[in-house]
This record gives sequence, structure tokens and C-alpha cells, in this order.
Amino acid sequence: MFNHLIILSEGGGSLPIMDPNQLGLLFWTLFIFLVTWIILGKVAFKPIGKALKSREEGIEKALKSAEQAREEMASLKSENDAILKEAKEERAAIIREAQKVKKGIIDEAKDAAQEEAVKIMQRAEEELTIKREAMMAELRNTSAQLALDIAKRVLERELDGEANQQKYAEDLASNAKLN
Amino acid sequence: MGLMAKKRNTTMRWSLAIMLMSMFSLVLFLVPNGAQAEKNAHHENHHHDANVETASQESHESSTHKDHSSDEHVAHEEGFNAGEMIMHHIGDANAFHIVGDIYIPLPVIIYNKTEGTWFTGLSTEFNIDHHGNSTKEVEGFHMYHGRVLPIDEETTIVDFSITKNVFTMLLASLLLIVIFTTVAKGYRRREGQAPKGIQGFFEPIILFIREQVAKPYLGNKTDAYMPFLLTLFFFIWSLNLLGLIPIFPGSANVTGNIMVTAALALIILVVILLRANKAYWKHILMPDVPLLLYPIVVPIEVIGIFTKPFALMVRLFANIAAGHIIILSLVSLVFIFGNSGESLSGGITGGIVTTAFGLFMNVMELLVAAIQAFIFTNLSAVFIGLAIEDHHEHAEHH
Repeated sequence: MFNHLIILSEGGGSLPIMDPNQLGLLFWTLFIFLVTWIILGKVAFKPIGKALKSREEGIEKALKSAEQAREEMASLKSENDAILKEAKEERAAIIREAQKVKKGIIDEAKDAAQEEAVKIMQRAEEELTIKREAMMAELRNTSAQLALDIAKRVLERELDGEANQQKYAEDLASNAKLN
Repeated sequence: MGLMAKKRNTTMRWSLAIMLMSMFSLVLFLVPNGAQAEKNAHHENHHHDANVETASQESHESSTHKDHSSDEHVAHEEGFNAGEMIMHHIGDANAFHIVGDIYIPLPVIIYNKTEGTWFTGLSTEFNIDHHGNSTKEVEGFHMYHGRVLPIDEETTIVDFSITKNVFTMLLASLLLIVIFTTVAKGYRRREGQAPKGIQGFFEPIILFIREQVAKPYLGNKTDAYMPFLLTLFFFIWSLNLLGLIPIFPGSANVTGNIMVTAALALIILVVILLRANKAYWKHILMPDVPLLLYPIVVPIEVIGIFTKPFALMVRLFANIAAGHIIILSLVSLVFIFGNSGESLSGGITGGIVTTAFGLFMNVMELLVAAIQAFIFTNLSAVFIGLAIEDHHEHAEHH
């Protein structure tokens, strides 16, 4: 095969790169290549291939889990939003309730206070009435006493003489008649 | 006014570029003398630091262009022969040429088929001169153009030496093991984390091979073939790149040697034949055609088993060898234009052309180095994919 090539290329002469006597070079090439193949395969290319593969798988896994995490985050967020919304509503409800209660309490208190006030007023009025009446009674008594005293003194002075006594008696009589 | 200034600026930049190129071509001419000067300097001024420094600088300079130093001598003696020089440089060698007659020794292991004996030694035992020829014979062997050959031409040998190409492959293998052990360590240390440093550089390439080269053809069986395809890709790529480095430890034309690509193709053929499923064999031996066509179709299919890896072998070899040949041819221009050192102006012109085109080609080869490694790996994946494909799935696709 090589002889033909040499004839083709050189017209029978020897081309050093096609020398059929160089079978030793063929042997060495085979030997060196096979040894390199075995050594490189064992120490380098197999571990490198495995490392590349595992890294690629790792990256793929990481990407997938990131996607999953993203989805989880999204769902978590919507859940959070829902909870927040619920909480807001609840807060509003509580506030509304509290306002209602507050109003109720205030109203109640107002009512109670009014009632109390009315009661106090009534009592005060009653007491006032009683006191006024007592005072009136006392005033009547005092004024009656006073009138009696005055009348006694007037009588003592007017009925000093006989004539006065007579006159008085007549007056009384006339008054009585009128009554 | 502004336009004029811009024009002047451009002119200045061009003249600067031309000046640099001229300087480069001058350096090319001075290399042999420089190398000589270095030797003299070394001999005469052993303790003279400054001189040694210049000498070593020069030696660096000259080692970058080692190709030319020897060729100029060739030129002086018998005229410059670009074809011979190129063939010499893209071939394998038993020693690593640095500059002049300085070589890095490599182990020589040769089986003598005729006598059934083994020869072992170091390539520097041959006392190599600057041509790559031995000045000394050892046990019936000599060196010719960088190759150790038997003196008796009747003797047939098989060269199991650690040659320049084998050395480069060992270096590439070692580099790959060191690099990818580090990368794998990165994955262990930062498990499941983003890549860092060298790991970050290689991960996209590994992923590219897996997603674009392997997966479309191998489908769910990709993982089983990844170590093979990755080793194939990085082995070829690193060898292509090392071949582009012009000095030691690079410069070897490994993947541009058909024996190397033949070995790689052979491995792929074996992988295909070992992993091929029933559907693959049925497709070859009992294709869905009228019985009358069997004498034509079956041989074609059987040949097809071998043409696939054969195409792989030739494609890679031809591309890389062509790249080396083009760059070396461009470098040869300096010597051709310079009339083997006789004409300075011609040499300068050649230097300018060589620098511009050589730079372009080197950058191009950088691209080709990666593309060819990718194509080889890609087609291997395609051929393996065809052999292991589930036939029902195949039918559904069409």
C-alpha cells in the first residue's frame, strides 16, 4: 500500500515521510497512543466526564429547585396576601364591633346618668317640697304667733277702756256676720 | 492636512516594516558566520562573560534558523537544492539537529532483519556532521541524512529507535498527561463549581468535542467513546502544534508522516471492527439490493471498510506535510533569491518575501493544526457512529 504511494508521489524515489522501512515509527505511534489513551482515560477524561455530567445534573437540579422555590414563593405570597386581607377584614370588623360597643356603653351610661339625674332631681324636688312645707308651716306658726302677739298687744292697748271693748265686740260681731 | 499626516504615518510604518524584514534577511545570511563566530568565541574567551553572552544570543538566533546553516553549506558545494532540503527536514531523524554539527542525542534501537540481531546505542556515537551524515561507522551502521542505515545496502532493518518523531510523541503524551491531570484535579478540587484557570481553557474544548463532534453521531453511546475521541483530538492537535515550533523540542513533522497517521487510522479501524454491530455487517455482506448486484456491491462495501480510515490517514498526513513543505519552500526563497549567498539584494528581497509569506503561512498552519485535529476526530466519530448505529433508528431517520 505504502509502496504504491511512494511510486505515485516520487516516481520510484524515496520520500522520507513515506519510507516503508519506518515500521518502527508505526509501532511507536501505536504504543504511545494506546498508552496515552489508557492513562488519560483513567486519570483525566473519565473523571472529567463524570464531573461534567454530575455538575450538569447539579445545575439542572438547582434550576428545577429554584423554579420550584419560585412557585412556592408565589403560592406563599398569595397565601400571605389572603391572610393579610383576612386580618384586615377582621381588624375592620373588630373596630366596627368596638365602636358599636363603645356607642352602646356611652348610650347606656348616658341613659343611666339621665335616669339618675332625673331621680336626683325628683328627690331634690321632694326634699325641697318637704322643706318648703316645713318652712311654710314654721312660717305660719311664727306668723300666727307674731300675729297673736301683735293682736294681744293691740288688744291690750285698745281694750283698755270700756268703750274700746264695746267697739271691739261689735266689730267682731259684724265680721262674724259677714262670714 | 490630516490626510497628509495619515499618509506620512502609513509610509513610515511601511518603511519600518521593510527595514525589519531586511534585517531579518541579513540575520539569515549572518547565521553561518555567527555560528562560526560563536565557536571561536567559545574557544578563545572561556571566562569572558560578555562574549559568551553574545555568543549564546547568536546561537539562539542561529538555532531558530538551523535549517539554513546546513543548507548553505550544501549550496556552496553543489548549489542549493530546495527539494532535497525540504525532504530532509520533513523526514524523521535519529538525532535532534540544533545547529551546525550540534545534535541532541537520541537512542538508536535497530533490528537487523538479515542477521536477526539488535543494534542499540546513542545517535551521537556516529559523530554527525552538519549534513546529518556520520563521520564514524558503528557496528556496520552509518548515518545518512539524519537516519541510521546499514552500510551494506542488502541488509534490511526495522528501526525501533526513539527518533525525532517518537521523541516528540513521547513529549506530547507527557504534556497531555500533565495538563489533563491538572485539569482533572481542578474538577476534583472544585466539585460542582465553575471551572478555573487551565480547567476553564480546556472545558469548552472538551464540551465542544462532546456536543458537536461525538453526540450527533454516537448519540447515547457518546460517553463510552469520549476518552478515545478526546485523546485522539488532543494527541493530534498537540503534535501539530509542536511541529510548528521551529526549534527543539518542536519542529518534528510527526502528523505529516504517513506512518504516524497510518497507526492512528489503524487504531480507528480496529475500534470500528471491534465495536461494529450486526446491522453494520449486514449492510456490508447482505445489502438491501437485488441479488444480481451483489458481485458489485459487496466488494465495494468491503473496500469501504478500509477506505474510510485510509482517507483519514492520507488527509491528516497530506495537510500537515504540505504545511511544512510550504513553509520550508518559503524559507528556501531566501537562498534561491540570494543565489546561495552570492547576491545580497536578492537575499534581502527573498527575506522580505519569506518573512511576509512565512508569517502568513505559520498563522494559517496554526489554524490548520486545530482544524485537521478536529476533522480527524469528527470523521472518526462519524465512522464509529456508522458502525454502531442501530439500524431501525437509521431507517426511521430517512
